[in-house]
Amino acid sequence: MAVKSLPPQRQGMKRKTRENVAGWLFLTPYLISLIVFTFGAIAYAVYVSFTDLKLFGEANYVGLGTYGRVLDPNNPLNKFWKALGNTVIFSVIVVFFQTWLAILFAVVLNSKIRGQRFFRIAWYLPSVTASVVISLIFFWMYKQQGVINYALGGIINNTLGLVGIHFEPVAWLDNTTTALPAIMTMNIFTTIPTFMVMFLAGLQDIPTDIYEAAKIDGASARRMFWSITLPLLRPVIFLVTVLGTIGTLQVFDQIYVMTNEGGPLDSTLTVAYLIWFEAFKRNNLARSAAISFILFVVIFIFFLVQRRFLDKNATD
Amino acid sequence: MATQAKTLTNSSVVGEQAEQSGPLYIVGQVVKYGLLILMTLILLGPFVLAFFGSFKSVNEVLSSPPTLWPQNWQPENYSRVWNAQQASGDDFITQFFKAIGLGTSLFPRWLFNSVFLAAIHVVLQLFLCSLAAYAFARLDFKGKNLVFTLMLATLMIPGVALLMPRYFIINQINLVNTYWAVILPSAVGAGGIFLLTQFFRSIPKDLEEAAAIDGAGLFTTYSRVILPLAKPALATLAVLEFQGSWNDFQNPLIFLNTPDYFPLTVGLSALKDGYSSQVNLILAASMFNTIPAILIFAFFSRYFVEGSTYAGVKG
Repeated sequence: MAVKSLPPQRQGMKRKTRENVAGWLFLTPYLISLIVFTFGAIAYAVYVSFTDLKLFGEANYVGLGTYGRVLDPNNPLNKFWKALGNTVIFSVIVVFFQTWLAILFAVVLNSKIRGQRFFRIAWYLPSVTASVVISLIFFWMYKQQGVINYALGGIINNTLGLVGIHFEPVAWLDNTTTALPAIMTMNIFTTIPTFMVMFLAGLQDIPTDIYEAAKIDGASARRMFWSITLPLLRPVIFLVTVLGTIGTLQVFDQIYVMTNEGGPLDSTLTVAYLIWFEAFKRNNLARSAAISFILFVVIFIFFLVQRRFLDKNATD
Repeated sequence: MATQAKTLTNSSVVGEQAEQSGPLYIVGQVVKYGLLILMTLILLGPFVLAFFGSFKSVNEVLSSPPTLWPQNWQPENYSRVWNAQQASGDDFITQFFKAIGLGTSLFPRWLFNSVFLAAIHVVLQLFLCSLAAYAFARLDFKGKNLVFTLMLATLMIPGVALLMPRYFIINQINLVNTYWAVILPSAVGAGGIFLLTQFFRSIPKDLEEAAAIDGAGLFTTYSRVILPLAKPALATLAVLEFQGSWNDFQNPLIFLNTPDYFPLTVGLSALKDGYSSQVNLILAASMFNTIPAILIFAFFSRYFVEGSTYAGVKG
């Protein structure tokens, strides 16, 4: 930019100084965005969380008062703990299944099969579709007369039915016990493919002669999976777990589209939904900001735990 | 799950030297391909059902037992969705749509908004991320490592925690309910900069040195030497950014409140509230979002695979 047309007297400027100036110039657009939309936003959120600001009102400093009210376990109208519980259950279960299934899928697709290219593309498809569209499709399939009940009924009644166990159609999203698991299942389905591709790349980085050597030593395939494949995939497992956790702790779109404000009876209410709800439906900005900050802390704690157990560089 | 993994690794690793004939081998192959096809059905089934469902009548789409192939095709679902709602305002784009004979239907406007926002996002991200990436990959300046570390740290910040404060920053500069509100906060991002920085670092320095001897400035080196060599990485970022913007729901939901400005995703959610009983229409509307996404993926699948880490970062 400015560097391109340096005035003559500055041509002699030392290369080092020139790079110092140019470096910051090239970074300027990103820095503006970082300062305004990240640091500015964080500063604003932290400030608001120490006040009692509502959409139409004055901000009075209340210290930790808003946090105290958000964390108050005795107020039956306080939905934070319910939302946090749902979110943590959602995250732990979804991340566990999506990671293991993604490894399994990757190992399958990495083996010698015909039509490998077709399967890779077909299996990736759920990852390219908008969460809103997936939610709308599953909203329809989860209905009482929907295809999921039909399929489950067909499978269960024709097998377990012989020993007297019968399946009755369930309105999956209208039931406090089934709504959250139904959304979790859908989420696992849509996130596996992205992570599968990351594991495929990881598998291809493992040199084949390690397996050859293990085979000569008489190692079983099972032993090789647990002693070679999994340990060498550890960096990818760490990355996938961290990304999966950050993503699932923020689940929002699915709840917004598939449920009625986190219902029935708050059984699908998540922290991310509560952040949006407090700010834009209840106009309670202070509460929304405080919950946002608590969510950030929760995500950071999850990250530290995962780094402790999964990242082998962390102990250095 | 563990037992399945065992048998599958078994076939992959030992497969080469395993007996290529005999009844056991054939049974193994049948089981393997059976599982592959079952998995494919589970993963693709919802989309196939939704596609056929979009051509059914209301009664058939909610019938029990469900049908796969429509009993009587109802392609008019698509035209009904197209004309479902009318634009409320009369801005420049609405007038243009009227002039070219599209009328005042909202649906084509939503499609336009989605394409427009995605295109702007792609152009801005490519330009602004590559500028920053060039600085990180090639220039030596004070504070570089600090900014780079800070940038990586921002990837840890939950996006949803920034939504509310960002709304009020956008509100301060009077941009709520404009395209700018959706464009500006995601015009440049850490994920894209990181992806391009990694690629720029892998480009050999010889060509730049030759350009420097010829007297090229840094900006010329960036635009004439680095950018042409980085086409694969730029293409990856472009494809991922298009998809990210095309599918984005949260940002437009918060920053836009006039239906005329909605992208398709937010429009679909609004349609669901208005037509909750007419699932066939909702499914038809969904196809306008899904089919372009699938086509882009089909043509550019290799870029999706190369950028999977970035896609993961974006959540």
